[in-house]
Amino acid sequence: MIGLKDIACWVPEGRIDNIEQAAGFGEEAGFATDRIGARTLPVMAGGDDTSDIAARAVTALLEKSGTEPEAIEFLMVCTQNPDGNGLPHTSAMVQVKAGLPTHVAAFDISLGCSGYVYGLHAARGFMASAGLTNGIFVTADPYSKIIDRTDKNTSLLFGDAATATLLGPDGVFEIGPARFSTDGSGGENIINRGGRLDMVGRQVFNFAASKVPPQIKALLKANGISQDDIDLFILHQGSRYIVETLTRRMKLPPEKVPIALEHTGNTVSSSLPMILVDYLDRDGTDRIVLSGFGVGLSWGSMLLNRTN
Amino acid sequence: MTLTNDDIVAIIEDAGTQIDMDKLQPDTAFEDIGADSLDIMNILLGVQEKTGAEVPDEDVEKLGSINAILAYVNNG
Repeated sequence: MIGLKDIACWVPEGRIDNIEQAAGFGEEAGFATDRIGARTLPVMAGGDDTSDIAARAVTALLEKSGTEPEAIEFLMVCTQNPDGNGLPHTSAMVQVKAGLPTHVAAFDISLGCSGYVYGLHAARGFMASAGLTNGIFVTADPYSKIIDRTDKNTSLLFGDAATATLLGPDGVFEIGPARFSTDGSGGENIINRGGRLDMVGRQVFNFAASKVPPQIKALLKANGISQDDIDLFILHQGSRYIVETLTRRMKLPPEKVPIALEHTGNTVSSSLPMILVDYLDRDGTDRIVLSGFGVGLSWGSMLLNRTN
Repeated sequence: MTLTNDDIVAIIEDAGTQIDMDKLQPDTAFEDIGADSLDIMNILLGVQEKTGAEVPDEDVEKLGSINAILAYVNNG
């Protein structure tokens, strides 16, 4: 059974002072720190591209897990901001930059903030179907490439980061049941228009606040699990405000819903693994809900069950 | 669906806004008693869910108090 074995993250050193940015938009520091939830935002260096930060996450994962590159047979990169115009696929560049062997099956998938939940299942399914043993699922969606720094709706929110998740037998977590949804009628609410990210914050907030709780509840109900049985709810870190709103709407204990975007901001498909990495070997977190939501509009929620 | 003053107060309480509820009066502008744009967005989501009617983005600026919302929803 293909499970989730390990995670490594790579966050650029470059930082945008979000309090300063907020002041430039006429907002007090508290808007950045308490409402958006991000004091600083990481931004990748000018000479770097998506495949560079993705490859660094892969290298960090190989080192952390003690995995030989030759053992890797599968590489999937989730991004909507690929190198160049997406041709060739970013995963092919990551294969060579991270020193992975040519026997790697590599492809990209296009999803935003729901990408980690979708991706775990897509990766597991491909690996199982093809009979592959060791794979890496990368998230790398550096929005700094498409942010207009004069646009308050987006400039205060997003940070650059990449993650790499090792998949294979004897995982720490079983990749459990999931629920997936899509509503393309709302797609224009988060869209890349000619190289510039355009977002209607209110519509995205309404979507998340109204669609995510029933999806998680349906997931739990379908699996005969109550909210109380869940040790941790890792929700996409769109902003501190949306995580707190979802917590309130679902009547979840706040201590079960981590908020961790103070120095990362919203890192799109990387936000869930960037939190999950801290719980890989933490006691008392045997059953975890992951929920990602955003671009598409697309949303997905799943269970992770600890195996040992 | 017709909304009352109490309905809006309940929506605001459920939304968990920064509004100072002791100062909340029907004509008080939400932004004068602690609300920011996120709070107003949250209140209007509650209004949408209660009435089943969508509030278009271009109307949001008009809906900064209980009475403004009541007039909009009930006479709309």
